[in-house]
Amino acid sequence: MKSSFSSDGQTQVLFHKSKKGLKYGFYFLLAITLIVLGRINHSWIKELHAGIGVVVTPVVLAFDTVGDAASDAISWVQGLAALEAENNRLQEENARLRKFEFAADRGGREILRLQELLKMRPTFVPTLVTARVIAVTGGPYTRSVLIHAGSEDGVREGLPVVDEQGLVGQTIRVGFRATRVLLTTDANSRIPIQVERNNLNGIVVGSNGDLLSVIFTGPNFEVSSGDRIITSGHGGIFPADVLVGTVVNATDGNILVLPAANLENLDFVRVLDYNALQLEPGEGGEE
Amino acid sequence: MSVPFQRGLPRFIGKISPGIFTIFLILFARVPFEDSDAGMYIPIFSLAFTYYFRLHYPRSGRLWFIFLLGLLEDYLSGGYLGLTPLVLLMVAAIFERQRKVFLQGTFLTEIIIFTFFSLAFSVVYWSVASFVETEFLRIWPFFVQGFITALIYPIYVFMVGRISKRFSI
Repeated sequence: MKSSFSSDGQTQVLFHKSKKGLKYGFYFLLAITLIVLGRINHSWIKELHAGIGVVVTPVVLAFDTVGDAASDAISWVQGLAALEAENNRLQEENARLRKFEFAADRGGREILRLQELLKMRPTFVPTLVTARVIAVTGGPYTRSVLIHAGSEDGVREGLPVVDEQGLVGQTIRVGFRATRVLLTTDANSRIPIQVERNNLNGIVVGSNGDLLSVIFTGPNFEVSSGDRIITSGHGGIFPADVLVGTVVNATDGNILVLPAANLENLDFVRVLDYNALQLEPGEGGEE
Repeated sequence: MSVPFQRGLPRFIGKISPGIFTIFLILFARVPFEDSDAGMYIPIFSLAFTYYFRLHYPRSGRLWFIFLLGLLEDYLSGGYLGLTPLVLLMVAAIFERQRKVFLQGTFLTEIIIFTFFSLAFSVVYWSVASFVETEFLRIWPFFVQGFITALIYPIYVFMVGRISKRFSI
């Protein structure tokens, strides 16, 4: 009798263990399946991302609003002390900028007129949406941010994103109300560029660090510290002439670029409505 | 035998509050404050949760919840979905067999063991991420994140401990 009870107990323990083992097996398998599907960029993963986004975005947005209010309050207190000095500085800057405004306006009109005379395709890229950065995403092997704009605003995958200073990156995963932007510093980022001074082409890659590296340059590629790097427009993802950054090191074939955009403290970004790959061949030239 | 509502509700809140609190921390850490830096300086709260609850309250740290926490971390970090859950499940699996060994000792011992655990987690995470990315990623950002997680662990335990005591789970 005693032995049968002990045997029953052992069976129960074994059953309990195998049930636990099955649970672990199920979750391990699920995790591995998700990774594999993510690696091959399966549409299910995109849908899962969008689904999680629908749940998470409102919460993240609420946190962001609270964080923003706290940040504003701190800035307001800090700003009180320097209010008068800041006011004087802004007035001086305003007077200086007014002089430039007139020249820039006249120059802009002249360029438009010349473009019209030459039947040149306008290079102006319209802004699709201006969106707030709602989460500092990214980890040890990724550099990305989450912005509060999605498919309901017309955002699509592969659109260029800029801030007021330069190129930020491109949209990679689009949810209904939130979109992930792959930053230029991410190791998977590849941007066709040009040195503004001499128009020589290359490719800029991220390294998951603060700086970008220039690779795939031609044999006569020449660049020096302080040179501005702009997008070349090749490849059709990024429009031409967007500032990418400034060369900070150009020795021993190791060309490093400091991004122009303020990637560590992004608040608002613009998603540009640009995709040259969608243009019909011959469009523009035969107009 | 049904539990009276007056007793059942606090017990239910008590059971879910550490998990809710951990989700709160994961989301709060991603708020873009002024001068916020890259995501690698954000601690892995899901690891702290898995370690603490698989060690002290194994019934509270359910596998499906650990899986969801990892998934949330992956979504927010922009990494491959499933990568963090996979490594967290490894941690949970270790506790299935070795829980009694880790339970021995003082709180200081627990922190020291967690520090080693966190760094080991970083190495495993780095290995899996490198395998998935099919290239050797730089290991130090993973170590930095693991180290920061270890630094934050005592504070996390203090806060979660207060919540657990408050609702006496």
